[in-house]
Amino acid sequence: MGNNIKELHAAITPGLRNPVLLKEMRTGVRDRFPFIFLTLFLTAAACAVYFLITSALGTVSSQGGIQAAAPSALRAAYHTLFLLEMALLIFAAPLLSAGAISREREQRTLPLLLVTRLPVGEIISGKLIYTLICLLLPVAAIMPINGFFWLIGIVGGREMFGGLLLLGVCSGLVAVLGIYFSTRSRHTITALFYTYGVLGALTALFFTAPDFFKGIESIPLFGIGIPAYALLVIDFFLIGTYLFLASVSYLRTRKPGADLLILFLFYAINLLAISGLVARHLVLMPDPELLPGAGRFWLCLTMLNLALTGVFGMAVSWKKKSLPGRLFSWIPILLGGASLLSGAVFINAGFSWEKILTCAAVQFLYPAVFLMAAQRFSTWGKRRINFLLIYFPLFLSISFIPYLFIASGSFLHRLLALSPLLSILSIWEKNASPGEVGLYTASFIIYFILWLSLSLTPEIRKEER
Amino acid sequence: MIRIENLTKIYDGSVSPAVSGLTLTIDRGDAFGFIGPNGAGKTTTMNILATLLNPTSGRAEIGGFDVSAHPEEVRALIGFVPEESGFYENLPVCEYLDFFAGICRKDAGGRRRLVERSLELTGMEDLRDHYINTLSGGYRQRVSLARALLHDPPVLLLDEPAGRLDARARIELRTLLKNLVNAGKTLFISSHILSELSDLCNKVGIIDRGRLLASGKPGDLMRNLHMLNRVKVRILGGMDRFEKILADDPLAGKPEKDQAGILRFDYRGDATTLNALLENLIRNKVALAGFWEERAGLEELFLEITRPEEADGK
Repeated sequence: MGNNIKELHAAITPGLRNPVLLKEMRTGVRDRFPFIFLTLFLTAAACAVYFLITSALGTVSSQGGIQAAAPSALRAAYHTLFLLEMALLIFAAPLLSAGAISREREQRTLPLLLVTRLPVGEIISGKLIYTLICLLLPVAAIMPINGFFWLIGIVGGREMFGGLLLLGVCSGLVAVLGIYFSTRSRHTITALFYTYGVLGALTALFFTAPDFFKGIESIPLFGIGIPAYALLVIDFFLIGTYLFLASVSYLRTRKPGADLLILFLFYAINLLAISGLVARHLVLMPDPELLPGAGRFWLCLTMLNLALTGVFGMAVSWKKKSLPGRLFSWIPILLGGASLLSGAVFINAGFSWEKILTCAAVQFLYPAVFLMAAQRFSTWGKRRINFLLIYFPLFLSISFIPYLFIASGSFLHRLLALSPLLSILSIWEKNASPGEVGLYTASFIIYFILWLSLSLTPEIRKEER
Repeated sequence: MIRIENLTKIYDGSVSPAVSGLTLTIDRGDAFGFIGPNGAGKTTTMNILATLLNPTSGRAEIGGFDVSAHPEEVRALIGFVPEESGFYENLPVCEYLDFFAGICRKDAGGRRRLVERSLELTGMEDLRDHYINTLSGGYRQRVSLARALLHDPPVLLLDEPAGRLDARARIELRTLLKNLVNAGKTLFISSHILSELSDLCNKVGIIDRGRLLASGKPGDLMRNLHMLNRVKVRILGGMDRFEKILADDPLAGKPEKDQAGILRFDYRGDATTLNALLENLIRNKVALAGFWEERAGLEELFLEITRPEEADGK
C-alpha cells in the first residue's frame, strides 16, 4: 500500500512541478477573471435551477397531479440544466485556452521559454493542465447544485457523475483545440476566432444532423460487440492527441513526426472500422436493410477517399513548405468530421442517391475547391493574404453547403438557408422545426465567420506588419 | 566557442535570403560585436544561434554542438536576451526569475541561490520585490540579463541590448557587460549603435543585407582596409602652398573645409610619413595654428566597408 502511494506520488509530482503550470497558477489566481467567471457561472447555474424547477413544477401542477408527473418534468429540467452547463463550459474553454501560447507570443515571452531546456511538450502540457484545472473548477463547484437533483431522487449518482465526467472530457477536447489554434496563431484574437469557428461548426453539425447518429449507441461495429460509437470516442481521442502533438511539433525546431504517427493511426482506425462494416455486411451478416446496393457504392468511395487522403497527406506533410503540406495540418479535423458523419450516415442506413452523391461531393470536391480557392487568393492583388483566416471559414462554408442537401427540407428552404438574412426572416414567417432553425442558424454562423474573417484580415495583417 | 559555417536562411515566401553564406568563428572569452543596419540579418543569425530558427543551409555550432541537431545541449550553454524581451508584468522580479530558475529543475533552495546570484551579478538586489511593470527600461533590461544568467551559461547572445535605453542606462549596461567579459563569458552582441560596441568588443563582424562583409579585430580590419586617419588642420596663412603640398603627396586626400574654417583630409600613411608631411608644411612656411590626427572608429570602419555596395546602388 505504502509503495503504491509512493509510486503514485512519483508519477504525479513531476506533472505538478511543471514550472509553466506553477507560473500559470501563480499569475492566474491573481487575476480577477477566474473569480468573476466562477461567480457568474454559479449564479447563472443557480438561477437556471431555480427557474427550471419552478417552471417544471408549475407546468405539472397546471396539468394536475404533481405526484405522478413531477419526476419526469424535473428530469427534463435536469437535462436542460446539463445542456446549459455544457454550453457555458464550451463557451468558456476557448477563452481560457485560445490565449495559452499566442498570449506568450504577444507579450514576447515565448522565445524566452523556447530557449530554455524545458521541453516544448511540457510547456504545452502545463498550459493544458492549467486550462483543465480552470475548467474543472466550475464543474466541481457546480456539483452541489447538480446534486440537488440526486438528493430528491431525480437522477442516479452514476448518471450524475457520468454527466460531470462528460462535461470534463468535452471541456478538455475544446481546451486542446484552443491550445492548438493558439499555437498556430500570432494573435489571441485569431486563435479565439478559429476555436469558436470550429466549435460553432461542430455544434451546428451535431445540432442539425441528430438523425444521422440515431441508433449509433446500439449497433455493433465489427459484429463482435463493440458498439459503433466507440469509433467516435477513438476518433475524438486521436484528434485530441493529434492536436496536442501538432502543437508541440509546431513550436519545435526539430520535428519529431509523432503527430504524423497519430494521423496514420487516425486514418488506419477509420479505414479499419469501415472495412469492418463492409466485412460484416459481406461476410458475417449480409443485411439489405443495413447496407443497400447504393450504400456499398458509397462505402467504396469513402474507403478510397480515406486511403488516398491518408497517403497523400502523409507524403506532403514531410514537405511542410508546400501548400498541400500546410493545408494538411488542418484537414484531419475537418476530414475527421466528414468521416464521422459518413460513418453515422452509413450506420443509420437511411440511404438515397441524393445523399450518396452529396457525401461523395463532400468527400472529394471540397478539398479540390478549397485548393483552387487557396490558389486564387494567394495571387490576389499580388499581395500575401492571411491564408488561414480566409480559407478556413471558406472551407467550412463549402463543406457545409452540401450537407444542407442531406438534411430534410424543401428546395426553397435549402435556398433560403444560403442567405442568413432570408433564413432569419423565414424562421419568423413559418413555423420552422428545430432542425430547420438549427440549419439556418448554422448557415448564419458560417456566413458570419466568413464575413468577419474578410473584415478582420486587413487589420490583422496590418498589425502583424 | 561559436562556429558558423556558410549559414544561410531564407524565410518562407521570401526570395532574397535574410542571411547568406555567413561564416564566423568566435573563441571562448571573446566579446564579439555583430554590426549592421536594421534588416541586415543580425536578429535572424541570433535566432538561429538561440535554436529558435532552423537554417536553410549551412551549420552553426556552440560549444561543439550543432544548433539544429542538438538544441537541448546548446540551450544549456547559452543565455539569450532578445531584442524585445518579454516579461510577465504582474510578477515581482524575484518570482519572474524564480520561474525561469525552476526550469533548471532545482529544488526551492537551489532556485533561491540561482536567483540571488543572478540578482547580485546584475546589481538588482534592492529591486527583488518590485513588480516588473513598475521598473524603468534600464532595469527591465537588467532583469532580462539576470534571467539569461540564471543557469550560468558560458555564452551570452544579446540582440540589440541597449536599443531602447537612455544614455545613462546604456553606460551602466556597458559596465555590466564588461564585468561579464572579465568573468570569462563569451559575448555575441548585436547592435546598430556602434559606439555601444567600440569599448566592449575585441572582435567585430559587419553584416549588411544578409552578407558578412568583414570580421576580425577592429584594428586589423582598419589596417587591412588601409583606412587609418583623418587629419585636421587649422591654417592662418599659405593656403595655396598647403594645397600644392597635399596634391603632391600620394598618401593625402583632398582637403575639405568645414564651417569653423578647419580643414580635414584623409591620410593613409603611418606616423613617420605624417611627421614628414608636417615638417614639409613648416618648411614651406604654411602658417599652422593646429594639426591633429583623428583615429578612425567603428563608425568609420562600418561606413568604409559598406561604401562600395552603396556606390553600386545595391
